[in-house]
Amino acid sequence: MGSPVVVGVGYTKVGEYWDKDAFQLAYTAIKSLMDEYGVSDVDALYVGNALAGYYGRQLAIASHVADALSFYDTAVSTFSSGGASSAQAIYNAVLGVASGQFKSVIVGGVEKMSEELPAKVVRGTSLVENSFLVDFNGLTGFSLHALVAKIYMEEFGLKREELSILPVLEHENSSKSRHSQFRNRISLEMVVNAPSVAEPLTIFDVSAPGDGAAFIAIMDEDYARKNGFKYVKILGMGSASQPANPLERASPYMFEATSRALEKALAKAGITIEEVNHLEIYNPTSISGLLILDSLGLNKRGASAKMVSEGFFSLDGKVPLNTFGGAKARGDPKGAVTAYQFVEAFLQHMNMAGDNQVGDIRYSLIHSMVGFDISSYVFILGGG
Amino acid sequence: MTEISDWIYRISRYRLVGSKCVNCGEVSYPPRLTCFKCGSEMAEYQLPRRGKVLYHTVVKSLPERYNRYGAYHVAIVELEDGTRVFGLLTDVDNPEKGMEVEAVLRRLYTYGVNGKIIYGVKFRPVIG
Repeated sequence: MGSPVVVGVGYTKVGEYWDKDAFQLAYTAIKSLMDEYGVSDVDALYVGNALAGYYGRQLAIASHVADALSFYDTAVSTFSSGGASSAQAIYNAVLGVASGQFKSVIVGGVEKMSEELPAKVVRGTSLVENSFLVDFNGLTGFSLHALVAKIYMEEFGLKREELSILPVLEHENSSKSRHSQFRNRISLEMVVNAPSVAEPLTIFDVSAPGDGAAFIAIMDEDYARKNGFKYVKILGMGSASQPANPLERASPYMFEATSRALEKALAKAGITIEEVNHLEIYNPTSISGLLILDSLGLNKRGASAKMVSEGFFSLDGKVPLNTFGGAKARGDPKGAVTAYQFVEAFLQHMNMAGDNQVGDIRYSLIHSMVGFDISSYVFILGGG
Repeated sequence: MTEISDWIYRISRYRLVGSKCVNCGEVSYPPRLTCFKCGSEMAEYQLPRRGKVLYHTVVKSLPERYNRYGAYHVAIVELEDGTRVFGLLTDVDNPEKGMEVEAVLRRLYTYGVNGKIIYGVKFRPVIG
């Protein structure tokens, strides 16, 4: 038995689909994956989805995606944890393959966020936070990020413009990407002067609702090799949690779930963070991006904005970050987001990233989290 | 939150009752079942009603149930015993850092066709 490997990907462009529902999007992505990469044997279908249940559209969505595809001999599981839904699906799919239970799994996520009005979307995406703390108090996910942004800016003397350096980079990367939702370039001035969501954050500091589906095929390495698949290895992964209330943490701006998940993933892969030279992180806001980077330990805490502005994380930089625009610009279809991150890492490793291609990736790091780093997931990809 | 859970936690929300660790004394609000520091059990704990605003922002992207407001202030408040809590501000247009506030009972939102009113604590500037 070898290690779990990614052999193929299928995905839709992220956007607003007024004429397609979640099942049609999932079907499009899965069919494209199976046709293009020749995946036919499917032992399991794991599906991430954040909001279909909350919207009243469909519960137990994986069973119904399997039914829509007429898959009746597959093990099926649904994972629903906001932006980390597909991270959890992939985490468990990897375990399923590593355990020897499955030889071939299709795993990913689908989200149809545009089916409800803004106030419902805002509440639905905020309910991953502790509901007594956030939902009851009229707080939202983004206003929680905003309050911690103020603490962070005060602590490290960050100027308003420096806070928003990441969205500018992410929109630059997405401007060349075919599957990204927002392909417009933006300037720091535009971010700062845009309508407020919860000051200091504006609409360009936060991700927008998006629709999309992304799926990947994970196989046992020996099985993949025997069947002639090209692949990227999943070398390690880790997950950890911390108090949901940022005020109960060592510091509200410390993402310790991320740093502990990172430690586990690196140990499993047997590498150090310095060997990683490609990042796909899940940051629904500008501030959370800086806090994630701070927690990865590539730089001193508080120095991430400066590293971004110096080009360290640019497409042609030392460690390219969110190479297709990340949640901000590629789009943030919650339950599918980590599957998109895997798609993007796969495209990079296979030299299929087109205008977004970065050279000589040794190891890729994929990060995802529930809410404001309550639970975190880190995957290390490489080799093949 | 659901109507039943809102009812279950009513005392905590009307009176600002949190929890205190029986082992290490750590205080939490909202109340917790176990201490986030040492994992021990927690007992009910009455928080002081006065404090000061540490950080505040205006929620402009509004969630369901709170969208009958145009926009509103939320804050991190440090209470007199040093406990920091998240909360809504009321009776104030331009809150300032360091502003003295006190907890008061206010209407928060209503439920569906029955129109059941949910009350809870908000923080207003200290009067006098």
